[in-house]
Amino acid sequence: MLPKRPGPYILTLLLIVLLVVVAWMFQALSSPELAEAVSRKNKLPSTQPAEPVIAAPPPGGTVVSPKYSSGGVDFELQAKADSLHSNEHSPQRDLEVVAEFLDVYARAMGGQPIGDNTDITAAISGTQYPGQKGRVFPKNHRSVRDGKLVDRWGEPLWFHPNSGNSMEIRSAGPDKQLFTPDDVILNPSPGGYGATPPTSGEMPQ
Amino acid sequence: MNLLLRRTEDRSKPNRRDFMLQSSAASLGLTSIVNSLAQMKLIGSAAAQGAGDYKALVCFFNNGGSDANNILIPAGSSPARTAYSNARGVGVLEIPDSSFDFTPANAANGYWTGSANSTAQVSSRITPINGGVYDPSVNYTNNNMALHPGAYPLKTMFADGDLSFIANVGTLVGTQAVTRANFNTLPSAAKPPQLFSHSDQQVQWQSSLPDQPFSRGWGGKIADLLSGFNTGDLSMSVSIAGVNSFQVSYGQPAYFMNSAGSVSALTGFTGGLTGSYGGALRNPALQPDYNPMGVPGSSTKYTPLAALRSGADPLAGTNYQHTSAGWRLRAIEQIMSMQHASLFDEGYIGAPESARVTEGLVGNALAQTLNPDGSNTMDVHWNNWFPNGLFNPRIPDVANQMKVVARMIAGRSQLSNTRQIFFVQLGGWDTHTSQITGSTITGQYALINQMSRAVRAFKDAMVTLGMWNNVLCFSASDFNRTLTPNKSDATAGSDHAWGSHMWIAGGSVKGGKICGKFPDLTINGGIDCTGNRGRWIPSTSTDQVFASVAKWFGCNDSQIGTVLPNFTRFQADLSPTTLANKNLDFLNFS
Repeated sequence: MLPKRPGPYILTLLLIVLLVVVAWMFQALSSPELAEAVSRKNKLPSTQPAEPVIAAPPPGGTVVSPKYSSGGVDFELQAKADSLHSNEHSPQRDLEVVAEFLDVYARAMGGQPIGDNTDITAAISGTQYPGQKGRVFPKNHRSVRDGKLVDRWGEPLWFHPNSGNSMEIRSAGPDKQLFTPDDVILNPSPGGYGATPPTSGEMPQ
Repeated sequence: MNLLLRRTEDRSKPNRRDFMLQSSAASLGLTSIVNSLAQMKLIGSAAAQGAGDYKALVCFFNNGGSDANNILIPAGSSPARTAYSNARGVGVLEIPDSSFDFTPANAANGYWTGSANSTAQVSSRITPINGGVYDPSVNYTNNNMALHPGAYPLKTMFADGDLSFIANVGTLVGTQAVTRANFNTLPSAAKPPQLFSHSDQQVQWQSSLPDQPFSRGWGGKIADLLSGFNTGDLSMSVSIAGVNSFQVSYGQPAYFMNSAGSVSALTGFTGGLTGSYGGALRNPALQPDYNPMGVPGSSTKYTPLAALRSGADPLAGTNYQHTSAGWRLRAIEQIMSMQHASLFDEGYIGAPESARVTEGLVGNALAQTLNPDGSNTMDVHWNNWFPNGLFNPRIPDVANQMKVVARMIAGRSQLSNTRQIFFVQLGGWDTHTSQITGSTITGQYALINQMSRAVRAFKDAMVTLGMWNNVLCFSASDFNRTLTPNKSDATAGSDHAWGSHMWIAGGSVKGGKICGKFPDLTINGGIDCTGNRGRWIPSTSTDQVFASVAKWFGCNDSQIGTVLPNFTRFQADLSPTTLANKNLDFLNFS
């Protein structure tokens, strides 16, 4: 049978239960077994792209740790970079691979690399400044010439940031001339931006 | 205690009493906010009683990233000119010095002299009245400057003291100084996020708050703060170019118009202040009480059957005219005034009512400049500056946008608003390819020429109306473009950069100046933020420029802090001394 004004009693009971639950949670969360289980769960399956390497390789360029490839990145990222320009896939796929590197960088650093080809290449390959962290693209890779990512025909890729999460990537194509009909394009810019003609008649003809 | 602990059954399912209690509490909170807002509006209205002035702000947004390096150009012989020519490339992006003195090719490219269209030689060279002050180093430009030849109409305004430039303005966070040396190593929070990206930089220019998530544009904030200046039904913000970030606000959603200016005045009503449809709609003395069999002249004002039987005007005493337009309006409002049990339905019917009110208002305003043949009294100025069907067969859209702004200002008496913020936009500035085409009606030349002619026509219209001192028009864009080209031939263009030059025009502008600091055009050094493309670290933040604009428009110091929270990171105040020291004294605030 409940007392006439049960409020204070029930409140007290609830407080005691709350304290017990909080104490149990503290104990449970601090157990090493749980920490290990969480860490195991957070590891990506082998088919997924590996997390970007946050730590820079030791000075001198030679990577000692077997964790990293000769380019100073995770082996999976190295393999992905090595797949660029492969005859086994299309030029369009090359651009998708580059976009994946930008995405990995964005997830590691909180935003896409900014600037033109030179800036972006330096940012993802960790060569923007001494001691840079966050390398996701191998150093000294064959797809980089004169500090720029090039397409399979040897011409620099063209990057056009429309927004923080939408970047047009364009290869000049077999004729090696940008902005011609044989260009290979990923994420084409909206009308009136980049090299995409305006959709409405803003410009007098 | 009784609210919390009761001997009820399943506490996960609120009963009617729970619902009433919770919704009452929620409504108390909402009610207080709404009441506060209403009070603020009343206070503002009271404050505005004595103002009696009118001011309009026009944001001319160059969408796509305008290459301002080719709008304000070092000329003649100077270190700046040498750096400019070397970096832009002769025959690539450089505007040759010889092209600043030019003869329009034909009448269609001619310029209005004030009395006739002329193809006589003109010059786009300028002589700033504050020579030496804006140079980054002694005699860097030798005060030998020019505008792009296509900007000749702006040159005439510069020479007349109606326009000034503010050099190298851009988005900045202001917590740490940005230099070429630290650009790549600064914490990302110390730089505007996603520099060189179109949409991010557009939003940041239009909010002037790069280090915080977007919530309102700086124009929208001003509209919220100064809404008390206006007593009309139309929002303070009007966009002729669609949705934009600049005018996003909490309480003054922008009214969108097209550049045709074809909104027609609502007719069929009478009564209300100055012919305002909204006033008539809400005049209780004129609202109809529907009583089909009522006796005319009795307290029931709307008595159609009885009136028709007696031959009287059945709409007499209401806010409708006994015309087809009046009957249509009455029918619409009868339908829309039906009571709905659902709050959503009730809210929904408010939207079309508001649309009718503003449509009627805007139509009345535009009607002030409408000629019987469908043309309007503002056309003459645009025909002067777009002669012989320049850009045939139509005057470009941005020019018509500016014309609509002029017509809205001309019809301001119908709107009962003493503060208006307009947004117009010209797209196509993302000139990565074929920036210089050799033609005056394509490429960058056409863009600059359209902008300049439209602004000059607008000025003439305002002068005719006697409103030039009451308007302020400024340019903005996503960003500047790289000083170096992206190719070495005539198909070259320029890429995304940072600090840019903007112009500001109006009768209150201290014209003929280059304000701020002109960039050191050194590539791969100086203020080239990184690399070797010529992307200037801004020397003046957008906050500094817009704070002066906000003050001119009517914001006090504390309100400027609300509109531009980062302003004081760059500049202590807007005192004459500070503005002079910063070379940002470009406005008469009175």
